[in-house]
Amino acid sequence: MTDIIFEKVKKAYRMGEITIHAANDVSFKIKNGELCVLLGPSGAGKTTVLNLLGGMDTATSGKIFSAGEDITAMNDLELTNYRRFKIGFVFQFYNLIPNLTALENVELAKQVCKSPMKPEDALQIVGLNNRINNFPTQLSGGEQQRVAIARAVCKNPDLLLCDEPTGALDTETGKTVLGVLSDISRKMGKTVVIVTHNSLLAPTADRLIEMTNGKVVREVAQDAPADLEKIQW
Amino acid sequence: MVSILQKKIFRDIAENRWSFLAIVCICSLGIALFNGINLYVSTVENEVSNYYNRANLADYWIYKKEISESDLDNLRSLKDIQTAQRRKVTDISLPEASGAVIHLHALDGEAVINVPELLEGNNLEEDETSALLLDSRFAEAHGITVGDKITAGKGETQTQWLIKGIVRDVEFVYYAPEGLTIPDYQKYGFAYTNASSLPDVPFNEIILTMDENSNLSQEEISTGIRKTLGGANILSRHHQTSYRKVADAMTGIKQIGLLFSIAFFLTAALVTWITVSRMMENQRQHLGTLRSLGFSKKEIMRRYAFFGILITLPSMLFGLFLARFLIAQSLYDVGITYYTIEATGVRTLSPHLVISVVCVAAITCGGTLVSCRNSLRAMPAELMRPKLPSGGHRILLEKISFFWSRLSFSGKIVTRNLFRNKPRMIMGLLGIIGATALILCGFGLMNSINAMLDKAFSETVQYNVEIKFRTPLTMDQISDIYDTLIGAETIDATMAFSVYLYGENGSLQNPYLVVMDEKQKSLDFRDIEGNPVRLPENGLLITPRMAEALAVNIGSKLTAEQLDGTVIPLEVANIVDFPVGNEVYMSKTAFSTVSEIPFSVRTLLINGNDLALDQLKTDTRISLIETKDEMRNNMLVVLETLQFFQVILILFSGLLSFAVMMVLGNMNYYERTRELATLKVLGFYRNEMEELVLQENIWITIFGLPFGLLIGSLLLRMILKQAATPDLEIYPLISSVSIAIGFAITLAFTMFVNRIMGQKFKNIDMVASLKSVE
Repeated sequence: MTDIIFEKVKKAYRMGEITIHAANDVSFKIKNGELCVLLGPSGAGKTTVLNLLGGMDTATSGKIFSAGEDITAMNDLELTNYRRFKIGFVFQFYNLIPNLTALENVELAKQVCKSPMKPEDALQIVGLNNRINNFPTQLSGGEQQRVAIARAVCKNPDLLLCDEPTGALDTETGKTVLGVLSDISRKMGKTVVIVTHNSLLAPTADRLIEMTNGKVVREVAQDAPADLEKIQW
Repeated sequence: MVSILQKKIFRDIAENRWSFLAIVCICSLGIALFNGINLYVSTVENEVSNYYNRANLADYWIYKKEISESDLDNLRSLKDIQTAQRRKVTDISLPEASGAVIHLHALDGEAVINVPELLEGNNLEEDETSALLLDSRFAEAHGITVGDKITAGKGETQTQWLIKGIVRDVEFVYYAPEGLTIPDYQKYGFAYTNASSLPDVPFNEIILTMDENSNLSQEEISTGIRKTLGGANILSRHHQTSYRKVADAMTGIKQIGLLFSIAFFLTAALVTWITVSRMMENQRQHLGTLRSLGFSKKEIMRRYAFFGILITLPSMLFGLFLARFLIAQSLYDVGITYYTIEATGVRTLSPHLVISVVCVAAITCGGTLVSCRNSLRAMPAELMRPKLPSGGHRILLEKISFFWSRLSFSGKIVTRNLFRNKPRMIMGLLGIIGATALILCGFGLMNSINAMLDKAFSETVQYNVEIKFRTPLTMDQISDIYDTLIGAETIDATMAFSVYLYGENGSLQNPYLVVMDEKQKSLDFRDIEGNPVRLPENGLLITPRMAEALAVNIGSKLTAEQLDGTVIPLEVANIVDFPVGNEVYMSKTAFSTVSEIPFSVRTLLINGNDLALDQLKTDTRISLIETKDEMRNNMLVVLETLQFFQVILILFSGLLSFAVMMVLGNMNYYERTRELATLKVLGFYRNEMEELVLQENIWITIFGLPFGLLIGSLLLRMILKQAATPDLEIYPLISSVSIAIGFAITLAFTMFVNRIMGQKFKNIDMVASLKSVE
């Protein structure tokens, strides 16, 4: 497995007559196995970067290397395969399939990949082993987000991408979820990228990338990330 | 002024344009069907009844060998009789026109009843002889125009007639004499002349009209007339061929059309209602926003009712267009070739439009308003939050672990999804059931007609040529014809005459009584169970439809009354399954025990090949030579309207099922965009997504098909029952091939729509759909 490299990536949206540069010459590098926090105020372009990295959107120019390949050169089918085999995605609003139970939501992800984890194990990792036969509406927000993470983890992806994973959660639940993510990175050696506007999360990361107005303004490797238990928000 | 809310509704429609178009399409078809049929019927009924009034159609036709001036005066003095007029009626044949026959009416003075309508040329002068007013259809078929002369008869009796004018006759709107099933203008025409032109022919017919508010029964009138004239053949308007055929045809079409429209409309209404409510439910958050901005419930409801109007108006226009120019016009074009009336063209409006439009408006506006009102019950803040997704729950099937554990993962998802969204499933099911039923009904009509014809012409009818004589003849008089037909295998001479048949409960039918030899080979009668039946030596054979119309059964007593009033007591010996012909059958022996009338030949039924029929074509004794194939084809022509229905049925129900699947597919797509986007992010391929999301449409279709067959059979049965006339009975039948084709069409539509929807998956924007809750 190789590092993630962004090289002068631009993403422009045309909104009528105006062109919006959501990502403007974005360059950075994330090492394999790192827990990276992508920080910035809303509208900074961090979700755009995450979507580009997840193969959900295509860049206007520049190159993105992930899993040893230039994903900007991929066609639709290759991008689907990239998402299918390499990426796990976690959203702010969970996006669970409402008429599947927690376990089945995870099984759904298992369907599509080559070397999946056992769904029960994935749910074990996120600490959700007793409510696996409940439907999403019967679960709390934090539980739903943990199911979503289990779903992403179950695919055994190289890269776990999380878009504001704690955004819809209260502090305590947020911490639990974040703990799960950091365990996945630290104990399982997965690369995890978390997008957030909450700067309090910054100290916990191996790498911190800050964005404003579509540009990277700071990129630091933190050799000694703070313990999750100690941060407050 | 267009309010902002209205503007918003227009934009909503633009966003949902496919569902909107599908609904407009469904509503238009419903309106088109109901109105098209009724426009046609009301046009013809209107034209005909105006014509009957204008030309003063007779209520009774009375035939007697000779009618004197005093007979006429006596008749006129009878109670409730408005006017009466006597005529000389005779047939002349035209050897130059290959033996065509003209039915000639000679009038005593100016016509006051059944007034001929002059189309070209002039009316006859008083006492002008050897001049005719000729039937327009006959003139057209023979290329005869005003001023031409035609020659009638042969040798010494030859006469020359000058064509003074071309006319239409109100008593021959549908001119099918001599038991023809369809008009034959080459062979038969009619004409008017002055009584003085036929000095040798006595007055032999009286036509009369009754006072409008007379409440005498047909029986009372007939008795009165017979008493006055000392016996006579009496034919009432309701049993006169032309009047009866037109009225029967219109009633049939109206009833079939109504049944068909109702079936179509129910399906369409249901689909429309559910779709419209769904579209409204998707407006939930918008409603919340509007409420929070301070719009009152009333204002919002009023504006959204406008949405229903926006569906109704184009449906009305498009439906009316289809009704007028497709359905009514096609039916009219077929009809007008057989009805000789002034073709004023199809009317554009009938009260039925109001009924159908009100129905459509009620459904579209009703659907919107009910769903809107339900949403508006909630507080604005609550509305603005997305409706909690109808949570998953376990379905009953999961308890049957034997079944459940054998389902694949996607199978489980699809099954659970089917039951999650019940309105959608019910709508899909009902839509499919309705559409399949209509398609199968259409195919079934075709099958049933063919099966009926096969039964009649392959099983029962064993002869292949029928020769009809103009007048009843004795066996001696036709021995030369027997000589001509030397090559025939069998020849059966039959006697046939029209009778009134009274059932035990007083119901009345007007069939032909057919008398044949017991050993006849021409008609292979079978009873309802299919056992062979011979002509019995006592009693008569009747058809099941006759038995039903007269409410009689085997062994029941009947009374037959000849047109001259002679009464023949009869008993039903058996009921035979013969689907065509308004006839009852008796053996010679049986007839001779109940009637003094000697046997005379009216028809020869011949089985044989290479018969010298050409020699007989110019024989003036013969009125008609018809082969089995011709009979079969004529039958098909009579059924033209039914066949037209069959085409419309298949076409419209095909469109309906397509629209239903389209609406269903779209609904599924829009309501599950988020789910689809999630699957896409997870890396599902398009075919896998299709399997998960679209397979349920296939299942809905498969579940619906058998019920569609059931409803379709019922509908077909009802339609054919309505279409049954004394002449014709069609048993419902849907062949297995038709079922297969019908099922395949419905399934193919479903798969086609799935294909279209599958293509749309490509365009799902993952980023936009998952960003946040709207």
